[in-house]
Amino acid sequence: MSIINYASREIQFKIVYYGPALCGKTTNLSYIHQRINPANRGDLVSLATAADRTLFFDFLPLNAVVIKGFVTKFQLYTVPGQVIYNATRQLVLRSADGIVFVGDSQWEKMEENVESFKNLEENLAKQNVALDEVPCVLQYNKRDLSNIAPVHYMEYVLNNRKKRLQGFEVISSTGQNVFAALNAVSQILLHKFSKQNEVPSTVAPPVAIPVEPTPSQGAQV
Amino acid sequence: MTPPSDALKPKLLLVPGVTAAETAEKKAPVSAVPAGAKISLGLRPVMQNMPSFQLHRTAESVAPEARIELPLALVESQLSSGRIAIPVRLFQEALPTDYKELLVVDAVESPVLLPLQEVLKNLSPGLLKMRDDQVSEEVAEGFETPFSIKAAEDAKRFSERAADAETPVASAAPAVEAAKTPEVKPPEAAKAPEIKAPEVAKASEVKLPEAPKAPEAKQPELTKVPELKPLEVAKVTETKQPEQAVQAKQIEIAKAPEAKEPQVAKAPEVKQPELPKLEFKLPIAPKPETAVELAAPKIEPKPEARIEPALKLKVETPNELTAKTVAVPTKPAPEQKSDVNTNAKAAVEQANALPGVAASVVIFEDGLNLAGKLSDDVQAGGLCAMAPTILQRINRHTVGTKYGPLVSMTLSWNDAQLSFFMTGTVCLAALHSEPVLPAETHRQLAAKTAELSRIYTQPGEKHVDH
Repeated sequence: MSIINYASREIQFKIVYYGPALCGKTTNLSYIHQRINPANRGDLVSLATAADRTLFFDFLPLNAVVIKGFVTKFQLYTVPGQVIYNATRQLVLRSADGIVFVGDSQWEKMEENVESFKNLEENLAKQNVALDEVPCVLQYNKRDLSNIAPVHYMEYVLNNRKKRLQGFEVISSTGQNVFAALNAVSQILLHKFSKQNEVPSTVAPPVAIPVEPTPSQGAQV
Repeated sequence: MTPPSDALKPKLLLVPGVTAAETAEKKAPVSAVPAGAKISLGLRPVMQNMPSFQLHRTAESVAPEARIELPLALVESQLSSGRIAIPVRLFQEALPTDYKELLVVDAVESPVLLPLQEVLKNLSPGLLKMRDDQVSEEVAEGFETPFSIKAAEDAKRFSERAADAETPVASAAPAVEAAKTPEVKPPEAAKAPEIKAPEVAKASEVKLPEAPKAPEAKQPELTKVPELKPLEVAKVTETKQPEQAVQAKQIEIAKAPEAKEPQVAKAPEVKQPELPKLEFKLPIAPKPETAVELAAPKIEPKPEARIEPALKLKVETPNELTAKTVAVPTKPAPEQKSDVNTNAKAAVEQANALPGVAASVVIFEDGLNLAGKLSDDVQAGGLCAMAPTILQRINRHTVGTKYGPLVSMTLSWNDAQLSFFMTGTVCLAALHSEPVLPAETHRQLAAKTAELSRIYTQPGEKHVDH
């Protein structure tokens, strides 16, 4: 659920990078962090272990454009992919406005991809949210490796559902299509947001002002 | 009378947006496989995929032309799970007579996992059929996002590289193709997946309005956690160079015909993976800390300075530190960044480069090792895990004293000394290379720990916006 701050005229969106362990979620964020203008981004907080595995999550705040007078801010998160960290994943996933599911294209990771995708659906369901309701795109990552499954099989495995998601062949280590995927999920997100919320362009919402009680009223109280 | 436990209750999840009909449909998928149909697989690749405990001999003893036929329905039903397992008895039955003794059926009858690539190679393309009733995501074409320009820039950059790489590498192309996994043609019924590449042409037209600098845009909480490894900084600078070069060529690219662009459905750069790799990995500069460490003269610990008691506990507080006389470090101190541009790994590297420090490790208060490692000979892992708790206990008693909060604790043995620095929930353990840490090193380690403590979120604070 996006956070709208009428006072500071800000809208905050939360995008979560989800996927199995070591599929490249943190690499995605690192690349985005490198490419974004430092004036428009915060610092990438990465709680990683010595083995470069995400411990809690990565967090990258981005200040962005103005939409109807509101400054949009994006917060990008990753989740720890390891199976045992499901509670952390549920926590990070809470109130997510958009999801980028990062699949690992290697043959031996197909099962983990499927499990992770199921886990995503289950964790959303626990928050009474269906995946179809959340803007989501698929990344088929590590396309530069040699032992990879063809995209149509990954589509069959991950995207054979009623609502077809956009898919991107990605090499997150070089940044190929990283922004394309982020751009796509942001487009869906902003489009959905603009449809749901008619943001007032100029008129500020009414503000409740406490009325000082007259002396007589005060006496009654 | 107690209510039944939750474990006995049925676990039902109500997923909004999923109707009962749809759920029922999922449970009973319509199989397109005729009864009795078989799939023929190469036996050798199947055997090569099996663990050694399931084989009497190596898979190389299987003739290359040997094949095995398995029920297609069984395979097809598992295709979507990314894992195809065949009951071992069934597999044994299906094995050609010459190879039946090759298989070992273990006590638990572990199923045989089939290699997906071999299955897909021999699978009828029509079986990977996508749902007919799929609806595509409503895409807001032309809807500006903060990432549109970057996406367009990247698309241009990578497509240009792919185009450039195509001509000179033409002779090597067949080898690259051969090295790839056999490409299985997508099923005809299921159209090629719509992998959308970002539109390149938009980049020149689109201009995003600049965000006004609101006073809130500073995000004070972010100052707590700035982080970039030195390695990453190097990467950033390197990646920007080719990018600028690409931007300089943009006018020419825009005029050029788009004939070179590969398939629309696929991202154009997929077939040229090695180029981007080179760009990012080659120019990594040596870390300055490493250079300093190598150049530094080795300091031998003085035997007479050792403390005789088997274990001596020494607790230091900030006031005590400032009162100490400063020993002149013989080793040049590593370059300290004024900002908080470091993380646990970098902190460990910098700490290790300090004079008097042999090795260091960063630990969370719960004993979890975050970065760094002490020598295996020391076997101080358990001690390091326990140290934060001890420090916190001692600190509880020192807070009330005139010395203020605890900064460090040093444990001394006959042959080694280990200092622990702790701030908040982060603890830095430093193994001495000399009996007493130089005061400057001590000060820097304390500062480094405080810095790490600011970087890593405290457990009491909120991690996520709710």
